[in-house]
Formats: sequence, structure tokens, C-alpha cells
Amino acid sequence: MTLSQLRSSQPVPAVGGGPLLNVQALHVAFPAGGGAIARAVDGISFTIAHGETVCLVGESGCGKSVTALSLLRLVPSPGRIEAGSAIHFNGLDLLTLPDEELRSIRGNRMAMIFQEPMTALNPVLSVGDQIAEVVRVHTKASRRDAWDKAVDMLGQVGIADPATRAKQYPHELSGGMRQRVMIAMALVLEPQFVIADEPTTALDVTIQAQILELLRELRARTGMALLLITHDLGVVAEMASRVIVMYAGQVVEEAPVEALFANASHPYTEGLLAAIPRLGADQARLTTIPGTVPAPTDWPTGCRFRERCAYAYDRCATEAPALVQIGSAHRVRCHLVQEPERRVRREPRA
Amino acid sequence: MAALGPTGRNAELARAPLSAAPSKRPHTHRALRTPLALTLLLVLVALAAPILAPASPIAQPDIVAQRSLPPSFAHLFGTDSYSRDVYARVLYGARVSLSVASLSVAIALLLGTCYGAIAAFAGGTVDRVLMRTLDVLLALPRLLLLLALSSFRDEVPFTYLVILLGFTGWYGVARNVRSEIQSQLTRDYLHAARATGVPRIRMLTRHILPHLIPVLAVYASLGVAQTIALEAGLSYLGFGVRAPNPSWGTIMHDGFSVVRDQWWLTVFPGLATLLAVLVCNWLGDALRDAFAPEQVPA
Repeated sequence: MTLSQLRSSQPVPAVGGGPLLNVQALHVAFPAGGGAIARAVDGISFTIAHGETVCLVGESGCGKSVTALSLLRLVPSPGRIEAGSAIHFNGLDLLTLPDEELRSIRGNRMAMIFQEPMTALNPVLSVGDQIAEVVRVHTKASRRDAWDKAVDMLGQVGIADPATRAKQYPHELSGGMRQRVMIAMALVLEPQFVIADEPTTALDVTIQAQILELLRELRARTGMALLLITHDLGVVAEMASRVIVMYAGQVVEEAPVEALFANASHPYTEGLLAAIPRLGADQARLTTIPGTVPAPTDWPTGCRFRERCAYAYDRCATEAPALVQIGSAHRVRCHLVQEPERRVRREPRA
Repeated sequence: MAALGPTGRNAELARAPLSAAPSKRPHTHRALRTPLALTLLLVLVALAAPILAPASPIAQPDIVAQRSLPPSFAHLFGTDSYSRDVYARVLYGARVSLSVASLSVAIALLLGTCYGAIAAFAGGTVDRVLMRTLDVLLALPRLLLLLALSSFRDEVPFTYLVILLGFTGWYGVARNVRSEIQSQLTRDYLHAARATGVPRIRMLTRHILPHLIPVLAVYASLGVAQTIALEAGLSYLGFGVRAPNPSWGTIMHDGFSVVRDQWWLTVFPGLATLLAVLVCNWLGDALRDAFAPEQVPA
């Protein structure tokens, strides 16, 4: 039985010329203690085309994961997506979609691979059961067909002897194998769009490369679009066609991957690139960006990066920079784009 | 015996050729074997009472010549003042004592699971109200409550006793179930299940309920032990099941007035109670140990 036969007869929205995913002015807020509000994601807009691989980059606490969870409307309580935000997937407005319809999209047309394969699998269900469950929940497949599909998928993600492995429980598998199972779960229904939230962070370096290779291969085979969340620019260089750099809940730079590595224009992106250790470089210490991301309850006025920026000047403190187009598909949120002569390095204040 | 399901399946897995990590399961299973076998034996003895017993537990063959005989080969546990065979009465008493205990614990598990699940899922105000109510219920001494409730009747019928014990025995289950579900609700895999579009009901039945089996299995065996003792105590005080067959507590109650001369009337049913409670407690402890490693994913 083929997948298209298995899939229940739900309306497939017309695929127009528009992007697969269109996020406009996404705001996510969490009430913090004492009446404060943490604006974890503060007005993010981006689009993802069919079959495209986009990397979302930024350090811990900049809102990457919350952005990803928002796309499936899974922001953990008490956080909420604020009015004015819009997420369109295949032309469907995800934020106003009834729960039941949204549920039929999750895992089916849009899936997510989680960061921690150790805890994202249920310890009391066999891995085959967990993959088959996705098939059973979204299609009219029989128990038998769903199981066969699960075993087949385990084989596709490179697990040897999938029929035996399917009967095993998560604690009997290694970390790398569990992540393969997570990927199998996400991809079993061949979704059009997959979100991978730091899929390799919890794994050994050698396994990381294998998992990335697997993702790339599956992407090529199924033509799915992939949003890869990472803080590893090595992963970005290997996987992405386009990169979105986030800082303090905002997009600070967005560019095709070559443009970003060749011509990083935001001081934060510059800092991230400089922080990659280079083999053979005569460096006593690793380069870092001084300071930390400010608290989301209290974003600084003006530019949010200025406290840590080597080029900050008076305008940065008073005026928040807008996201400016500087090349085809290259956008930057920095005053230096308009005043390149101010690009003078000084000691950052932080 | 829901507890046997996962246990058996894991034993099978441990033998599977591919098992990645050397499993600790066979070892913990060995610890389960004896108490499990003894529990089964207890149940079998109760079921086979008509075969094992030499006489009817209620027949009074010769109220003059055979009354109050000490233990002998003819009457292993002696006879009582109505010439009834105490050995037969203890065997039949197992049926009453064990069924009262297991049925009332089943009621308690059902009530407690529902109550705890509602509290955990609803959260917020509902949860707070339910939990404070539970605190109030827990503050009432169970034995006094039982005595008060059973004193309305001259004779306590079997069903009434089962219901009484069941409805006063679920508080602990409710607490455990609530906290177990609460801890499950924050786990990543439930988040992941939600992300794959698993419906709510299925989430409860497939993803959360299996995690409750250890809690419930342990509670069931310990609860049965506690209830056997409690029922014996109640019956001993004169509030137990009487007709037609006696429970262990009732037999002890009958022998109480003559305990100095006819020790066999109280000692044998007492030993039976002790044995049953011990076996059930042992099973509970072994189950807890067997389930413990499963709780922590390797």
C-alpha cells in the first residue's frame, strides 16, 4: 500500500505560487514573575519556500526554539502567541485553525524533530509502536500496515535489522539510534515541512555528521522543506540554502548561505563567524562575543545588541534599527548599513 | 493481574538477540518469582477449599461429642464450640477474606485513579479543591469511620463491607496517580506526541496510563495486604461478614471469649491472616523493585 493510499482523504490545500510557510510579525510572550512580560519572540517575519532548507541561528535564549514551537502552536503554557502575529502554512492560517484541523496537520504535513532523543521517546512504548502510531493517527491504515510502514521507515533512516529493532524500547537503543527513530517518526508520513530543533546537539560528534547526512539525503529524496535550528555554524554551512540569524527575539540578519559567510553584515553575525575556532590558526584563546543576551523581560532601547557590539555609537542607543534590504534576499538590522563610515572598532561596553 | 503484562513482555525482550544494553530485568524477575508464586498459591488454596477441606465449614456434626476438640489428625486445627471443623473454616475463610480485600481494593484503585487523573488534567482551581477535599478525607480516622458506618447494621453483608472498604481506601491511590500523571505531563515525549498530532484521549490511554501500571500494581498488592488486616480487625471487633461463611476475622471473633482454653480458635485464623498479609506485602515490595529501573530511561 502506498502512502497516498494510506493517507486519509483530507483536503490538500491548493499549492499556489506562494511560499510554503509564511510567518509575519510573530510575537510570543511569557508572563514572568511580578507582572513582567518576557517577549521571547518579538516580531519575527520570514518565509520558507517548498523544498528549501533554512537554518535558524542564534545563541541560547534568543528565541529560536520558541519560534519553532509556535509554528506548530505548541508554545508551552503560560506563554502565548500575541494578537497581530500570523503564520500561514500552504495558505492555511495556522493561528486561527480549529484544534482538530491543526492536529491533523501536526506530524502529517508538518513535523518536528526534537533536540533530546533521550527524553522525547516514550519509555513504555516500543519504537515501532511510536512510529506506527503517527501513521495510525493520521491515516486509515490498519495496525498491520502501520507497523510495516514503521519497520520500512526504520530501514530508511539507516537502522540495521529494522524488524527486530522496531520491537525494542527506547532504553535499548543508543543515542544516535534514538535520534534516527525520532527522524523516522517525523518523516514517516512524508511531511512537506520539517522543523528540526538542534537535532544533533545531544549527540557525539561522529554521530552528528551521520545524522546530518541522513537528513540531507531524506530531504533530497522527499523534497521536504526543512527548518533547521542550530547554534552550530558548521552545520549551517553544510546544510542550509538560506540562513536567518536571530538575536534577542528578532531577526538581525537574513541571507543566502554563501552571502552570509562571504559578507556577514551584522556585527552579531560577524561575531558568530569569528567565534568559530580555526584549525592551525595561531590563537592563544578562542574568540568570543563578550556579554550575554539581555533578559527578554527588559530588552534594551535602541539596538538590542549594542551593549555587546564593538561598533556601537550614540545612534544605536536611541534608535532601534530596522531590517534593511542590502542585496538580493539579504537583509540586515543595523545602522552601519546606512552609515558604513561609523564602522570603527572600539572596546564594547559590556 | 495487569502487572503481569509488561513484566512478561520485558522478559521476552531480555532474551532477544539484539538487546543493546545488558539488561537487569532477569535479576529483578527472580526476586518477583517467589512472592508471585506464593500469592498464586494463596488464591489457589482459597479456590480449592471444597477439595482441600475435609468437612463443611458450617456443618455441626455432633455438638456434644465433638465440640471444642484440640487439634488432632481428625481435625487438624481442632473444632469450635459448635463442633465445626476449624481447618475447613479457615480454608473457606480465605475465600471471604481475600475476595473482600481484592474487590474493595479494585474499587479503591478505580476511584483513586479517576479522582487523581481528573485533578492532574484539570489543574488550577479544580485540582486545588479536589486535593484539599482529599486532605479532609485523610484526616478522618479510617477505622473509626468504618466502625461508625457498619454499626448502622446488625449484620454486615458482604457487598456492603466491600463498598465500605473500597470507598474509604482510595485516598492514597488518588494522590499517587495525580502526582505520577503530573510528572508525566511535563515530559518531553508527551510534547513530542502532541507534535505528531496524537489526540488527547489516545495520549491518556496509550502514553500516560502505562506509566501508572507500576504505581497501581504496587498499590494493589500493598492495599490488599492492608485491607486483609483491616477486615480481620473489623470482624474481630464484631463488624465482619458472618453468613454463610466466616472470614478469618470472624473466626477469631468467635474464639475470643475462650482464647485461654481453646487457643486453636484464634491462633490458626490469626496465622492465616498474618501469612496472607506477609505474602501480599512481599509481592508489593518485589513489584516496586522490579518496576524501579524502568522508571529511569538509560
